[in-house]
Amino acid sequence: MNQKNPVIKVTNLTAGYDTGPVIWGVSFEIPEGVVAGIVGPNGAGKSTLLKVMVGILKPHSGTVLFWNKEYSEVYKRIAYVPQKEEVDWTFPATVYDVVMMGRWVHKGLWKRITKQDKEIVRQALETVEMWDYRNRQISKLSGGQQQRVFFARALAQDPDLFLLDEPFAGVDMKTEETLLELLKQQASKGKTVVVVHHNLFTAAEHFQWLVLLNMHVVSVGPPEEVLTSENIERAYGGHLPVLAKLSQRLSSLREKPTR
Amino acid sequence: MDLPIHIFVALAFIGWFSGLMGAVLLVHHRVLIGDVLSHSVLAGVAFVFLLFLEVSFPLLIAGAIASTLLAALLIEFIKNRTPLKEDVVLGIVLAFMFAIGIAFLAVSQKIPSIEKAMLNTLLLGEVSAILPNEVPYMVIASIVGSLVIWLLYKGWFFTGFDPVFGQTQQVPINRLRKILLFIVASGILLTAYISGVVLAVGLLIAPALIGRFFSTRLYSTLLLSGLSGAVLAVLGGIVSAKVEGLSTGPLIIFSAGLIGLLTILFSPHYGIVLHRIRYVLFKWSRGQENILRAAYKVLERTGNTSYAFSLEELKQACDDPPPSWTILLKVLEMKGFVKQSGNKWLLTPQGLEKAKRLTRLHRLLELYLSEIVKIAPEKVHSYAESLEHIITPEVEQRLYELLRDKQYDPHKKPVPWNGSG
Repeated sequence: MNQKNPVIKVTNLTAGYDTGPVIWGVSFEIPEGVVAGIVGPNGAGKSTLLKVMVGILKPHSGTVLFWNKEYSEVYKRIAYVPQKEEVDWTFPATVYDVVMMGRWVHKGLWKRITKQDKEIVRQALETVEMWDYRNRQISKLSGGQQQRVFFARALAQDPDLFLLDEPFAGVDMKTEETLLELLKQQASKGKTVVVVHHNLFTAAEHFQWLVLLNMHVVSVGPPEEVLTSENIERAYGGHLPVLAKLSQRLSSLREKPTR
Repeated sequence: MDLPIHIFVALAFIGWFSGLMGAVLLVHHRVLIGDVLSHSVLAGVAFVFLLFLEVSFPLLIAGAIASTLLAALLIEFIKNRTPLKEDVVLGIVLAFMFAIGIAFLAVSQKIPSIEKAMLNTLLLGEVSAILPNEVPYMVIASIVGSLVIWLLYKGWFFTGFDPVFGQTQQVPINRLRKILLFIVASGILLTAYISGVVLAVGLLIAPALIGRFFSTRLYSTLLLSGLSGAVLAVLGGIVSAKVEGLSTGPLIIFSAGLIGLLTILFSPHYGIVLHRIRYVLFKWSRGQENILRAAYKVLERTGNTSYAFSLEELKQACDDPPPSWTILLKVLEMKGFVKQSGNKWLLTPQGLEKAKRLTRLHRLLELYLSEIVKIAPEKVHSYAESLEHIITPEVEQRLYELLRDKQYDPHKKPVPWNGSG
């Protein structure tokens, strides 16, 4: 991990909607080559933060830099995977069409698709084990398959940074494991992965870097530093019945040798 | 009365373009916009009419486009500046623009000495009013409109399927949506010309439905919608030529609607009729399997595989009664699974074999559900009851391998393996 050159540097970010800010003065950095999680309770502003980062929502104040550059300069190197519910699965398209969208972002609306693009799409679909489903209509996919297709599209975009909004919500255990494995593979190739995740329980095992958020940044760093019972109490209000269990699990995790 | 050829040319091109517009609107769930815009045509045309008292074709187009664009702007403005939802906004703009149009129309009726037929034509659509020198304009406009839709093909994936991803990749989502509105605002005049402003939306929806129902991808949806639009418009023209005294507009929409309805009933993926037929067939095959299994239960009780059982005994043993006992018993007899003797029934050797297999499958499923899936034994019977009819041979085989050393199901009934019982 190279702490000196963060992939993402968020500085003093305040953002929200007409009704007022949802996140206040948020600052953190995410180093290169990790699978990082943005974790926090419901309403903590996780998705808001992600939307500001990818330029969908304008912040009230503060900055977000990727590789020390503005988002608009580097957006092609960043693949965003929206929540499954945010798209229209009744749209007349096949799995293949959706993954090809990952190539279109490099081509604009009119440039031709080359053999190489098709090859990249095939590899992406094979990686998520959906090549056999390439001609299936997207309305006929299960939740887990939808998520795989989305991830294949992100792969096809060939980015250096993945941003995923709740990718494990409503998918089966097997898909969750497969996806996580794929994300870790990407990280080991030097790419960076950021996942918005609501499940504190699995956060410790899934991620190598955590941003614990509850409207403010509660803590940032490796999970064993972030997930102290004190921090979790600050983020979740301290009445979490699972807290005791979680800290047990964490201490067992800390005893393990480092990854 | 036969229509001259230039009218069919106009019908084909406008029908194609209308179908294309309808399809793009349909995949954006915005078909009603077409209705609002077509109703707005009248106001502009009638206004130009009142202003100049006599009207040329280009002037008319200018008036129509001005008022549809006004309607489009109103929709965008109200939607962006108020918390109102799109359906409310559309309702407001439609009522407002159409009211103005009707008011202008009423005023024009009071002025003597002007050609009013034109306006009435526009209200309900009358293709015989199309003049040969207007056709080239219509053809060119349809081609240009279709080209714009094709050129933005990839854009519709972002606006229609995943606008959030599109925004993150700096695809101009809002501009594309405005362009779509603009295409429809200018193109709907053509549709209204052949089907009338009131019914124009029908010529957008019917072809689009056909296109959508019969295809799984965007390009085929568009192509098919365009083609069916052309066919429907021409068909409507032919029908209207045969029926004296009826406006062509309603006839085109009527035939389009009829074909659209047939599509909904019979399309392979979504058709209600085929779905229903499949369901009934399944119910009858399930009924036969249930009868055989009930027969096996009766024989199990008596311990005699050549025992002749009565219908009453059968009914008592069956938890999931078939749609008709008499018919299905006859069917089973024809298939050679049961034999009638007097007013009692016997299982043939094949029937016994099949009944045994079904019972084995049912009991293994119960075992699987209770021991491996850990569902309470009281519940597994009804689950197994519905699963056993849809298990594939491959899964059945796996089940045998998985549970091959089990002798009793969760209710302590024996599993009839081959060779036993």
